[in-house]
Amino acid sequence: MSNATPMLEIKGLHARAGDAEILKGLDLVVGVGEVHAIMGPNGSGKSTLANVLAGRPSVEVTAGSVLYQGRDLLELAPEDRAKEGVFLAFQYPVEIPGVSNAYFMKAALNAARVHRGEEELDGMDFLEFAREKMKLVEFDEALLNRGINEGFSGGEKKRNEIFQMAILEPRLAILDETDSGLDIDAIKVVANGVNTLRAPDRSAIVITHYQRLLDYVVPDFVHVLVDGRIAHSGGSELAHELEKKGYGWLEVAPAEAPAP
Amino acid sequence: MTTLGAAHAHFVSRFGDCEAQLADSSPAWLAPVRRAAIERFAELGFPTRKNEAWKYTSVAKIAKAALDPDPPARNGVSREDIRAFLGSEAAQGWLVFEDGRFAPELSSDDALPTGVEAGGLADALDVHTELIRPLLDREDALNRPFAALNGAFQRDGAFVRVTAGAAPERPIQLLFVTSPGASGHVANPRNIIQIDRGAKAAVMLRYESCCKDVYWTNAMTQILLQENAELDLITVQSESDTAYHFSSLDVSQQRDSRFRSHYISLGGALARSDIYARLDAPGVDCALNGLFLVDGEQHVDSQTTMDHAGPLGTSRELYKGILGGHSRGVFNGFIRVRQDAQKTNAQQFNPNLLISDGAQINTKPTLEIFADDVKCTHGSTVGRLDEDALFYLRARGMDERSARQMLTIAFASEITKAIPQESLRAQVERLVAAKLERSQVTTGTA
Repeated sequence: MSNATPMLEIKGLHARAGDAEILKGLDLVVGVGEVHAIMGPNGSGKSTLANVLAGRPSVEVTAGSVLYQGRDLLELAPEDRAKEGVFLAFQYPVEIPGVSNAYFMKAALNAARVHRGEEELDGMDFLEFAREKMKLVEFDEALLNRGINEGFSGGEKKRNEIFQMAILEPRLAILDETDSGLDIDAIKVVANGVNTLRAPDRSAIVITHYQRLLDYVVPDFVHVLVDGRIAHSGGSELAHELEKKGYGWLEVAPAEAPAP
Repeated sequence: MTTLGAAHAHFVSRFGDCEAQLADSSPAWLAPVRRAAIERFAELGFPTRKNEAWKYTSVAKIAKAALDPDPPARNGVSREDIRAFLGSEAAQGWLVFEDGRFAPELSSDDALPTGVEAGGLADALDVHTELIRPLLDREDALNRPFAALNGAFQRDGAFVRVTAGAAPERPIQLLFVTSPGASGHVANPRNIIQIDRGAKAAVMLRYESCCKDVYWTNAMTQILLQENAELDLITVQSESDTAYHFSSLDVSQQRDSRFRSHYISLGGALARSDIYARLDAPGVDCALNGLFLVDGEQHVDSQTTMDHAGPLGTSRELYKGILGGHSRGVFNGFIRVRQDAQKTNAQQFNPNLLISDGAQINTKPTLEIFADDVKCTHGSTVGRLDEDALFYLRARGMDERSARQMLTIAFASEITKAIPQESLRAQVERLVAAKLERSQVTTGTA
């Protein structure tokens, strides 16, 4: 894998939201086929990183570079990133009454298919495809015909994110604290969604606060984000270590943290 | 003022020219009704912006245009034009009116549902004199200058009656088309709709145009719901963007009747709608839903009065505005609860979506309550598309224009989804989507 172009290569990334500088020189390489977990205390920049990768307009990149499959990701509009296979499972999915989930997902899938030079799916074909994916994430078909996240519980919203991910089959999935607020059964569903997608040609970044999810989605690498930089990296055992020791020991001198 | 004064004189003197001819073509009782109407218009004149009801809407351009209020009849709409408006899915079950006058040869030839009488008002004058005469002769229909003008010059329009207990499954669809040769003309369609005791119906009024020049549709519609009757009235105004469109709608409801208006305003350079609902019998239910969707230099003004005069009435009003370009919107919603209207429950809400920096809305919900045991709420908001929602859609691969369009349609859908009849709802959704598609509404901050 070392000679291949990585899925994602982030170098010296600085970003701000409003007046506050959040990311302060972040480096990260995600290889093709790898799952990386990013952990870290509140306010360390985990969600900002996720939003930079998805292209949220309110987050401004001030320095550094991000290559996605060897191409400049930051140049692309959010929709073009999505069509190229980048997917962000939102920490706070938005409610949009008046646009049905089914209509939205069909439009999203077809936008990506047209982009790839494939034929659009018609209503029947889409429904058949969607039913398969709904089973996978135990997503109630009644929710498919409701407005996007309209009146959904917290758990249903997160399930919907994973359902959308299953529909769009991204190359690079970024899960922004998808597990927070979920009970253990729901976490298993999320994990199942990610594991099903796991393939030699796909990668994932799993941002989480807790080690729990990582019992079910076993990552290839675990990184600790502290104050806008990767302070420490290791294998999946690092998650357990963090669970026991907390983040305090890393914040003492983040600059001297060993490189992976 | 001088322009308004001159225009006013122009219409009054035109009435003098055509009075004899108007009298020739109508029953004798109508002549004094017309005369009373023009006299009332002569008193009221063109409103200036000092008039509270016209504070944000100037009629100076109409006054300047010196339009002809009694032009020659009908000027060349073809069946192909009709098909173009209706598409294939809705080609059945339409009565067509050209320049405000019934055009049987343009209408579809399928039979009306059982219990429905529908056609031209002029043809119904002799048959249904007892029903129509008091409505044409109603004094309160003359309180607005342009309703009075309609009363003086009207020659035809739609007459619809649903007989007691009937519940036609198919909606009654009326299409008003302005002809290509109507430049400089005023059409004064007068519509009367009566739903008899216990009957239930849906009526659609669609205003379309083949004229790309300046003209004025000055419509007046009167609705009477007898005891326990029910009506959904769906109005879609898609006039040319060169047009002036004024419409007055007066609703009288008898005991326990239910009325729902769904008013969709898409067209016109200047469009004004006045709805006056009087709830003077007990147990009456009235819903006024509205959507105005404008862009460019369009000006749209929606005035509603919900007049609770009898006890135990309920009313709901939801008007949504979507404004792009340099358009202007006005909403003036007035709820009055008279002293006898105890146990009234009235709600009113007017949310607005501004799509561009150049668009403006003046919204004024007003309550006036004289009864002490009532429940009333009202409010309005002005906002923009939600940036988080926009990003959410884009992050799934929707381009910015599609995402804006999706969110805008979502905002409008609360109104369109409230139309119970599926075929009418589909028509309205298609017309709203088409307006969004061709407009600048969704191109972002302009």
